[in-house]
Amino acid sequence: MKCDKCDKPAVVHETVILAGVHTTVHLCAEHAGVQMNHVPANAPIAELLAAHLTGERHQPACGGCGMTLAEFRKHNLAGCSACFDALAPVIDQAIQRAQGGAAAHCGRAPARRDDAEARLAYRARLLSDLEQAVSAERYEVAAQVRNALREVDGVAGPKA
Amino acid sequence: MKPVENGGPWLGPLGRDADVVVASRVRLARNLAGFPFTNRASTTQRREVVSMVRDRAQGAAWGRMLRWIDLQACPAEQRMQMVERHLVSKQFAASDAPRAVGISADETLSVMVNEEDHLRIQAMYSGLRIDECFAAATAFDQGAESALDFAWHHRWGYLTACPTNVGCGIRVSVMLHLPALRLTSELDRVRRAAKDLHLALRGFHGEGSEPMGDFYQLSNQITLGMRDEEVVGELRDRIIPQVIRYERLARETYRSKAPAAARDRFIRAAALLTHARIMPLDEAMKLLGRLRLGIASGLTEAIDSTLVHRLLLQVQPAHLALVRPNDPMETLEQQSAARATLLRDALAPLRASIG
Repeated sequence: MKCDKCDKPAVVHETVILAGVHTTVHLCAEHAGVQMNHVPANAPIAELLAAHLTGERHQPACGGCGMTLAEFRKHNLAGCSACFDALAPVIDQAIQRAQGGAAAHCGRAPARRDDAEARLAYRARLLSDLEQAVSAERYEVAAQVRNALREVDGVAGPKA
Repeated sequence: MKPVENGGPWLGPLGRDADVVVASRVRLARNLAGFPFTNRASTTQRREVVSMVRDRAQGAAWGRMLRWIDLQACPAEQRMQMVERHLVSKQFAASDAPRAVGISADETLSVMVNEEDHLRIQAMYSGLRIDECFAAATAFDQGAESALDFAWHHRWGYLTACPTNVGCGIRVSVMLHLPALRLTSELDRVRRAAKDLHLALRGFHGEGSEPMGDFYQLSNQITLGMRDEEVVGELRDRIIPQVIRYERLARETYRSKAPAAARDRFIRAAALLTHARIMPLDEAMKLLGRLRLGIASGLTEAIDSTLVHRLLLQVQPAHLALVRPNDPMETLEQQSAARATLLRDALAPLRASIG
């Protein structure tokens, strides 16, 4: 069967039923792409899924080093400190996957840290994480987040 | 580098549990704030990182003990020697970007600059001495932190290029000799149990699934949500003693079920090592592993494990060239011949004792 738009063989056949009226279109791969926002047949499934899951076509890049999500996924390496905020939540998931689900650091911190603003932002993030973990009944994660919160509140920085 | 006869942390005193444990290592991963990580840094930035770390270390009590080697200016043989001594990683030795390593005189502390992370601080000791490794690595780390600004995140702790290291950035490894667990086919069970506990059991020498000489390293995989002391304590108090107990039990089972076969394995290894004229690397490692098991089982008193450890190092290509400087080494066969001579000479007391 030929494409409705040109002479190439049709590879996509779509029947639409609208108010009881059946309409069938037959399209080649090229026109299907244009007409129906159809997925190209030769796209690797992993890329498609990744693009679908993260909902982005134009991937954001880290302002610090230019690392894109695609590059991060390919090598599983961050390019600079700023990546850890710029590539969230993808990088958060990668970390938690690599770390057996652990949700936050605990223990030693550089002695000279005392950035009040960053600490408050962090505290707010921890609170929302805690809420999420509890509502998802992920109590082990919730306990870790609670420990991290205690560290933030207890001392000048999350210091041991 | 020091001459191989007395250099290298592997060749130090063995201490307790030496029948199973070869050595311990603690590694800390750190990055400098304000620079892209090594994988995104330009050549100029990498150079800056090297000189910043080296200059601050050289001028301070915490870092003065390191002697610095510029890898770009370092001959290939010396780079290989450092890999064989586990002072630097293979990738680090092979790269051609600006990078350097600082090594203490006794080689127990080494700091790679511009590996996957800006700093890889590593302390190694022979035997089961995780605490000493941790203390040495931490002392350098805290000193460095007083002079350098480390990349840090309020949620993720110390930042590292790879998500597997963020948090406290610590990797504790214990090098273990596990021949009986492999012989009794129990190793897969240990490996599965290790995986469930978020630990990795890998071959220590060589690559691939069949480690040469039955030497393995067991390391933590989790660096987040646990204090570094907890990671150290867990391995030291819970995991390692259990693996040692399993290996000893497997040795006991093997010896009591097949005493003649156990003795025969040792005698055959000794006979080959003290008589062969051509000795490929993998065979040398395998036979030295059997010798080590024989020594631990009391089958000989002619030699001790320290000699075996030294030979495990000297049979590797770069060290072989160092200890047999006058032997031709152009072909693999020439290398194997030089290796066989080295082993025959070093193990002469063993030859006399097995008759």
